[in-house]
Amino acid sequence: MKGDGARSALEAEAKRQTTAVRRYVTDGGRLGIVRAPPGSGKTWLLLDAIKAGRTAKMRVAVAAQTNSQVDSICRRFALMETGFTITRFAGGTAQPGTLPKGVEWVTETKELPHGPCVVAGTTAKWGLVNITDPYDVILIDEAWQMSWADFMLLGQVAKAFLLIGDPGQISPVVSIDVARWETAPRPPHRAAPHVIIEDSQLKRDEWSLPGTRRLPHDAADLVRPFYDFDFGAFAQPGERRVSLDPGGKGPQDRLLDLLRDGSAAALTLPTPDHGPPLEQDVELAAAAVKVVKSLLARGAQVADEEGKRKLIAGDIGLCATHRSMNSALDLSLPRELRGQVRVDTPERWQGLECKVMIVVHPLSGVLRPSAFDLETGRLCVMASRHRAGMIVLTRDHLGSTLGEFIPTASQAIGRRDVEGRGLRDNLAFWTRLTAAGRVVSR
Amino acid sequence: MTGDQVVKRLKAWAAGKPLPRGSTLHVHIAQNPDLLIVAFVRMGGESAPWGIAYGFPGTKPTILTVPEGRNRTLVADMAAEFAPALLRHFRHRDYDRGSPAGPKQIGALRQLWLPNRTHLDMLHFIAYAYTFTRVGERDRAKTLNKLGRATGWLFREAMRPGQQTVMVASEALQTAYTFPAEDVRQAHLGFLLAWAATKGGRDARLRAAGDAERSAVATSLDPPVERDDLQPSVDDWNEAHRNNDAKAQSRHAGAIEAKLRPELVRRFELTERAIEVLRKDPRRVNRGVESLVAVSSEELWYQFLRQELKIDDKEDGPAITLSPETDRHPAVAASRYYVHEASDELYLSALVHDDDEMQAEAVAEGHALRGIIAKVEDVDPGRRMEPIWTLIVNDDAPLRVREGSWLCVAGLPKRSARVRSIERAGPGKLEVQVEIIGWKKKPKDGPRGVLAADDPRLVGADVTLVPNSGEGMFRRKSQKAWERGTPGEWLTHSRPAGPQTALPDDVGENIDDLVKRLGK
Repeated sequence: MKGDGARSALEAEAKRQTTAVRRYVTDGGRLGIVRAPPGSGKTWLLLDAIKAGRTAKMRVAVAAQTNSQVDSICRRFALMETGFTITRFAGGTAQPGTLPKGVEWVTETKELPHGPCVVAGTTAKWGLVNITDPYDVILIDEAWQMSWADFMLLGQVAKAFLLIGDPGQISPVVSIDVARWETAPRPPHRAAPHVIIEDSQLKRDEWSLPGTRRLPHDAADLVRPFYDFDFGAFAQPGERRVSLDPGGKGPQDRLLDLLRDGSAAALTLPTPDHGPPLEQDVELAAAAVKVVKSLLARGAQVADEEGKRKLIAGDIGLCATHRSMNSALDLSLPRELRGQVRVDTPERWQGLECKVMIVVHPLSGVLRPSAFDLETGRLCVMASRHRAGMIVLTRDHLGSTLGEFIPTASQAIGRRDVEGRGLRDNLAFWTRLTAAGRVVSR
Repeated sequence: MTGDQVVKRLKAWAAGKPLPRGSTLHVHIAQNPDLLIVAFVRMGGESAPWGIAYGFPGTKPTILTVPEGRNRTLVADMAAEFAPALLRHFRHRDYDRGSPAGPKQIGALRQLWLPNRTHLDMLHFIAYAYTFTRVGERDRAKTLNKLGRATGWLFREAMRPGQQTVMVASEALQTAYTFPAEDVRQAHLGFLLAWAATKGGRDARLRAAGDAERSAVATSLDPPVERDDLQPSVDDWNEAHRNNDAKAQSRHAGAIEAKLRPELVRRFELTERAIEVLRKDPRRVNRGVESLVAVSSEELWYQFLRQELKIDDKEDGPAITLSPETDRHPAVAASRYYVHEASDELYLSALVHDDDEMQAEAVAEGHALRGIIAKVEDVDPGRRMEPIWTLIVNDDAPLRVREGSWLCVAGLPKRSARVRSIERAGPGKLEVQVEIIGWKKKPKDGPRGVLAADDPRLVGADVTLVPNSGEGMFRRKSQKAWERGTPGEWLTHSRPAGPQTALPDDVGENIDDLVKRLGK
């Protein structure tokens, strides 16, 4: 199937999934999991499910993992103009900020509404208070960012659960030694949906959203290896692109020229003899900023379903895994671009998008990767924020570092080989770029 | 390894000796009667002890050995002989008449010191072998079960960040000093002590350290010692054992004991020396260690003594025997996971307020802010004080603090603050606005000289803001993990099924019993 036919098929499937999830919520389904690729409309699906539950006169609780995620859900629900109020259940010291009409700010449990309602709060907030008037269902957004331990505390909120999220993204942060629980049947530190899916005894319904609306067609191919399920792209080949005025013949211009016939390209810088800088690579930061300046100087234009228009600084995002590298990126930007070009870690890019992303490969400063380094969540987030173009920057050891690495399979018995799988997926990502001739060396 | 650690290690190399880490000591060292040293040796490839040395500092250690480390009966007999000493030390009710009846009666914290991490692993092996064993004579099996539960708890406790009960000597030294050597060599206690205690310059210390590491301190013996000195005697003992020649067995057992004894004594004495080095350090102990000791005492009660007395606790769960391997019940796993998270938070926050060097490290790593208060204002026009401080800080290091981050004033952990905004304020400077949330007024029972948070005299003062501890939140979560009778417990607290949790009772914990107790 090609072009509009393929898109229509994806639309039909997305509609079918949305209807199924909506029915599941209102029919009293007890445990459902929705796997969503990046930019596939999962928040829309969530909002639709909230509305359906509320329309069916249910008490609906909504949980997300950060305050900004919850605020965003509240704003978007209010903008749907359903006629229903959404209660923002916040911490006592949180600031309400400016919330649209239809959002009610509540910090005390006793002030929560009785009867049919929609109440949204963070998982942490829901887990720490004492709920005396339970809800019919709790809908959990960004569920793959929530640990099983945090999920357990939501047992007091509702009897039915719907978990929605992107399985390719960053796992819950673990700051302590968790060897004790690696072989536990319900490891408290692991993402809650993983724990549920891996337990064959837990009966649940599962859905996978069929395609990404955000990513260009070839970018979907690039990130698909990071997922355990197949999905397509609503954008068809060539629909999304970055076009530029003619430039020179240097590596910088050759790099940008690659965006004319594909959404992804990479630039490698020589690895110093003494090895790449660990966290803060000033040379790489300067190269990233040069890409930003070249895009703007060459009058880059972006085309997507919204039409074709000139790329502006606010359309560009920069991302590196280390905050110190992001500091270097920010400081390297000319004053007039600071604050316009968003610079942040992958953790904070989750849920966001922009037209063009410039990302520093997570393994650029790593010669001997650990299982943590090879875990693909961060790379997946970085490579799935753009609507039109993405440039990957790295030191040129990356191919050989991955090619020569031998994973040790040191995972606990019965657990997934995160290191081996991470290596395979990282290799697939890089090999795809190099094999397609989309890597320029400086 | 962070850049800061690399620099410190290079400085130690330049100085030719280990350099103090931190301006205070972060380790509790109990008085001698409260401090039991234990060291093990094992046969190559075995996970059971071949010999055990134990005793208090300044006393001759008790030495137990068996002629054949692969003989389970002999090893179990030796373990049963060792058990009372360990159980008495940790005040088990069957071995200590004054055993505490509640958390407030713990008194001085009892500690266990081990030479290095391999000896800690041996506690785990012992827990695996004996926690559920039913082999052999009934009383002996019961004693071994108690030993298994005690060593299992000690091993688990050793994994809890900041705990002060199980001290690995080589790690305690690394906490106190920066040694000019590779990580892998720093696991050798003799190597570290030679660096620390040898007189002279770098060459002399390096030579002494090199000599020291030729003698093993791990639980395994040097291969030539085991192969050439011990194996012939072990073969002879086995031959005599097969022939039921008691006299010959006794003779060969004596020969084996004579060779294992100095190995065990060396490990014991090295641990003793490490304690001495730390005791002689001129730095004072960080005031925050007191809170770490208090938590360790609570853990001794809740995770060991209470369990042995079979007393259930509403907030800490029912008294059960945990598996040496993992926590199979979801509530147990989640609760303990949160306790470890809480301990991790407490560890850093307890110590940082009383250690200038730790504060400087936190600033250098971007977790803390140091600057000058440029402005103090109370933005609440009413009676409710809402103080905002505007700080000017140097922007010369990566900053990991974000808008919304929770911090507190170094030295005043209760004066907490939330970051409202971070803006550039000229070249190399940042303007950071923080809202003071805790201890806004002049504290009545706080340190002297502390001003109210809206006092204009604070303008111009240097201030360091360090991360605020989330310990309380994790503790609350750990207690909430036990809550039952919730609408979603059919999922969140359901008994996991499958072969992993259906273990025979001589191998694993009784999950059904736990589920029953939770259902009360």
